[in-house]
Order: sequence, then structure tokens, then C-alpha cells
Amino acid sequence: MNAIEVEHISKVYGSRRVLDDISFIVKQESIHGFLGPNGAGKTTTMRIITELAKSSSGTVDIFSNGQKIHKTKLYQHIGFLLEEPPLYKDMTVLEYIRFVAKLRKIPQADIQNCIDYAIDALDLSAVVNRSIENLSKGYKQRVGIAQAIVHRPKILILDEPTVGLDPHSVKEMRNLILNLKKEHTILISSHLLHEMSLICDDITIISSGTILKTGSMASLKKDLANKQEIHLVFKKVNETFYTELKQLELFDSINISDCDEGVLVVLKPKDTGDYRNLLIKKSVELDVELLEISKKEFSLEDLFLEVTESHD
Amino acid sequence: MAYIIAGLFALIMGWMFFNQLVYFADNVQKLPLNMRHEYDFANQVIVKLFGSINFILLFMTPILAMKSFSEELRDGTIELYYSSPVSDLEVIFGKYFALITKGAFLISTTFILPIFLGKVNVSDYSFVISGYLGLWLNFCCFAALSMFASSLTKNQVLAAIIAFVLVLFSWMFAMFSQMSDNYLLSEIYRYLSVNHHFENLAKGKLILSDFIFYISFISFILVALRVRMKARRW
Repeated sequence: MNAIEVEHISKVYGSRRVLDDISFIVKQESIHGFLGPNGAGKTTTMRIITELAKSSSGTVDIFSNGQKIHKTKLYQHIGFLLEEPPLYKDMTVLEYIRFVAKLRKIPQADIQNCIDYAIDALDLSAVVNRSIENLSKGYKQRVGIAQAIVHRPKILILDEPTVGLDPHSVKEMRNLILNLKKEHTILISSHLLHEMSLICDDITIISSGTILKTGSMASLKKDLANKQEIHLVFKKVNETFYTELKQLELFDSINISDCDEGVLVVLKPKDTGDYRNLLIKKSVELDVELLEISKKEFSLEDLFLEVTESHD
Repeated sequence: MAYIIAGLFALIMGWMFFNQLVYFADNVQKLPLNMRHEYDFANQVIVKLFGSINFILLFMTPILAMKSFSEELRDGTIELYYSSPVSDLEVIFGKYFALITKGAFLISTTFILPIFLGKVNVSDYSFVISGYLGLWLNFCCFAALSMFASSLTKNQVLAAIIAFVLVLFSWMFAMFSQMSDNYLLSEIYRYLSVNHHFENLAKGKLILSDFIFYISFISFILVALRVRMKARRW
């Protein structure tokens, strides 16, 4: 059973189409990354899932229920933090979490347990009695997540929870989110692609309101590995070397261009194999002077830029 | 903020009450001894005091209510309500009852003034009770209008200005009634004026149509506020 199924969602504001027939699935007990440049439609999608905005067409199915869940029921299942944390800055952390717990109509007998859970999960015990106004941005963000999980929803939706945090806080936030995975299915958007690659099981890339890629992080990593390149720099190359390389039938493309030190050959292997040893042997065998050989791995950033730029 | 407003309000009202007493005493002194008992203390001091309180509420209510929704909209905390199993009406009524309780507290700071009535041998307190009821009902109308204004913008100052204009408008219907030559139109304007209904209560007249007006006026504004909240969400 999937936690969230977004099916053919479109959103039109006047004549502007913000989301164009987007579909993706968030599996249960997973962390699903939602990537996209600014203005891609991430927040709009999240607002539609949380019913803070209406879609122009399409449906959102929660827990493969197949029918529209009443708002009251929906918010038992979903907790979210969208954009700025909704904090009452004149309250202490404890007062605020207690207020939200009452607002979510948690039974009186369970309130204390739920508050304790939120405080422990976000490691807020050191600041419970401090006024929210005096907290650092990192802690304010944590309090924002605490309000989202205080009623112990099965799904947690976080929109850019690490934006504006220093690297230390980002690392802390990463560990906290990984801990939250034990109890919640998480849909998270972020610009920090490296961070996403460290915590996400699945990923969806959106640009200009269209889904460009969606799938597991493992398949994405396989795609990335397939996109590796081998760079060779020669003093000069001859026709025989080029023919030999072609005859190997190991490479999708062979590009030869001039560079400062001589000739640069860029090879795109067909599979994930490491052919550097073979290429060194070949160059010795064919007596071409090899100055440099390196393997260029494709990062998530490269893939992100490639798919979003090619779409634009 | 509410305490500061209550303190200022009590101070201004105390000063106004003192001035009215002095004015009343001066006028009584000018009358011959045998006519002094005919000079009506209730009408000359207490009814005028109610008028003054009502006038000050015109300014105080928009300030008290300006943050009720605009601050929530600015800080994004309104989404806490949207993401909770509470209805828009629960949110509106919760905020409204909190505000009219504040209003009752504000008005109660002037209770000390009619206690002086005991010192001047006024035996009929019923007009005082109905006058205070009228003040509070007027506050309830102003509060509903001010909360509606607060839902229109994220800027609190702008919300207070809009609220002041709306409240003033609800007050000035009586003036439009005097300006109109058409009898029917003039009566409609008069009925729509919050002040017209308040005047009856301030004089100790309890009329059913006044209460019907207050209930319908407040309900209409709160329904408009709910429509506004629903529209804002999408």
C-alpha cells in the first residue's frame, strides 16, 4: 500500500499553469525527496496534498483509500511544515506544543505522551521552557517539525526544512529526519541535493510544473553510474587508436577535442565497468603517449542540472 | 497590549466623568434652590457618560481586534488551524468570544463611576444596567466588524484603519437618515445605525427589535468573515 498517490494533478492560476498533469507515488515507511528549482511547483504540490490548496484537476489518494478523506481524518494521518514554521513566538516551546496538541484534539489522557514524543524526537528537552522568540533558526525549525508530529501522524510533509541552516544544523536535522523515518512516511523537499541523496529512499524531480524523473534512489544512482565518463589526455593520437577504441564496442560515444596539453578524449562507457586499466594497456600497445587518465562520476547535482536544463 | 488599552481607557473615562460631574455641579449651582432637585442627574451625567464610553470604543475596538487575524496571516500561524480538526466557525467563535470578553473587561473598568450614584440618591439603577448592556452590545458589533477587517490584510495597522472606517460607517448611518428626504430610506438608515439602537438602551428602554438588530448584525458580519476565510484558503 502506498502512503500518497498523486494522480494527474494540474493547477491553473488564471492563465498560468503551475502544475501540469503530475503523478508520483510515495511508498509507506520511506523518505521521498521532492527536488526542483525555485518556482517549479514543489510547494503548490505539497499544499494540494495537505488540502491547503485545491487542484484544478486530478486526485490525491492517501493510503490507497480510493476515496476523498474528510479533512478531520486527513489531518490525523498527515502532519506538515510548509515554508516558515507557524510559531507563536511569545510562547515557550512547551506551551506551544501543548497548545497545538489541544488544537489537534488529542485525547486528554494521551496529550502528555504525545508532547513527550515530539520533544524527544526533535531533541528539544534543553529548550522546552525557553521562549520561542529567543531560539536559534535551527531550533525554531525543530519546534516547527515538533508541531507537525505531535499528533503522531503516519505521514510527515516537510517543505525545505533545512533552508537557511548552517552546515552543523543541517547535519543535525538530517539525523533527526532519519530518526523520524521509524514512525513516519516522509515527503521532503529541499535544494540541498547532497543531503537528499543521503536520506532519501525515493526521489521525484519537478521542473516548471512537470515531473521529470521519479523513482528509487538506487535506480537513480544506477543511472548516475551509467553516466560516468573517462577522460584521457594524450600528447597526440592517431587514427589507429581511434579505430581500436571503436572496435572495442564498450563506449556509447567517443569525443576527441584539442586541449592545452594535446588531445582530450572523452569516453562514455555503455555500462558501469571501470575500463581505465584496459585503456592504459591499449595506449602502451599502440604507442600513444598518455599524459592523464581520470574517471568523472556524475553527481545528483549534475543529473538535476541536466534534467532541469534540458527541460527548460 | 490589552492591559495598556484598558488602563488608558479607564484613565480617559475617569477624566471625562470628572468633567461631567464638575459641569453638572456648576449648572446646579446656577439654579434657584427650589428647582435644583428637578435637574436630572441620570440624564445629565450618566447617559452622557455612556455616550462618551461608546465614542471611545469607536477607537479602542479596532486597536484591540487588529491582530486577531492579520497577525496569524502574517506569521503563517493560521495554517495551524487549517491543519487541525477544528472548523472555521470554531476558530471565528473562539477569537470572537475572547475579544468580547476583553470588551466586557474594558467596559467593567468604568463600573466604579456609577457607584457614585449611591452618593447622589439615585434610586433607579435599571437604566445603568441597560446602558452597560447597550455598550457591550455595541462593542460586540464593533468587534465583529474589526475582526472582519483584520481578516482582509496581513498588515495590522492597515487592518485597524479599515476597521475604524467600517465602525465609523456603522455609527454614521443615523446621520445619513437625517440627511435623506425619503421617509422609507431615512427609516432604513436609522434602523441600520448601531447608535440608534444603543440610544434606546442607554435611556433604559429595552426593545425587542434592538436585540434582533444586534444579533442579526453580528451574525451577518461573522458569516462574511467565514466566507472570507474560506476564500483566503484557496
